Amino acid sequence: MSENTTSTVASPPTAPRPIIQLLEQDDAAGGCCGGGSCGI
Amino acid sequence: MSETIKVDIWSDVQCPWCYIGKRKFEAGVAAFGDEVEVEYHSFELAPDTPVDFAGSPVEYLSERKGIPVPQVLEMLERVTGIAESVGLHYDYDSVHQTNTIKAHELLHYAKAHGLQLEMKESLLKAYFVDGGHVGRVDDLADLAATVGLDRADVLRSLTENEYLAAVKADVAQAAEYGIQGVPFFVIDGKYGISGAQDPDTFAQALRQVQGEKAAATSTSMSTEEPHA
Repeated sequence: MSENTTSTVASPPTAPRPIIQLLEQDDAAGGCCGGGSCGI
Repeated sequence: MSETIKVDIWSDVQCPWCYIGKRKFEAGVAAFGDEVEVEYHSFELAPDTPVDFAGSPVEYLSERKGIPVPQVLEMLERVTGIAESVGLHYDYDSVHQTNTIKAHELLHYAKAHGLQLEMKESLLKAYFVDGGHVGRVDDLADLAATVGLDRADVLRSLTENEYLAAVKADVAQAAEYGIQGVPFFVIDGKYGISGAQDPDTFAQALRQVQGEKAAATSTSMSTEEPHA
């Protein structure tokens, strides 16, 4: 009778990180980040 | 007939650039000329703010964020001027700085009842223009009723935290996308536009996506085997 062994199961791959391609835009356009760097 | 383009927008109710960006995006969609499906998603700029923060936005930004008062005043004057240029009359003297988690839950409730866009506009106007309080559930329920939602059911939903998990899921999705500031526009699930860009930028992006979708459809049709 063969011995049951517990093999190490690799973790399932995490979901692929969504790829958001930033389109050409004005980097100076206003935005809010909740911190001091962009202010509001 | 072309396929409708979906635009997912991350924003916060107390983000002045989000309201400005909303107007510029709407102008961009008008210039684009075709129908666009819009869905708003939650982003919390200041989740640690108490609902009844005892202070003005100036005090909030100077005390909590450490920005010198003269700089805060300059920032608010600038953003108020830009808001004015797109037809929005910000009144920072009457703004109630607050926590927006319940407002985000309300936006999800409104989405489930087909009135998210109306609710979003109403919340932004209440906060920046009308001096409304967008943190207290009673005030939110009053506002919800003005766009046609059932006040009593809104109160129930907000009290039960019915859409809290949905708000947190939006925040998590924003982190997945690497979004660090708002407004942030995701077009067709793959292109990102950050900030209150000019209408032309939005219109050009929508045209680009529309062209790509048309090309993909055309390629797909030309490679299909003819029916016997």
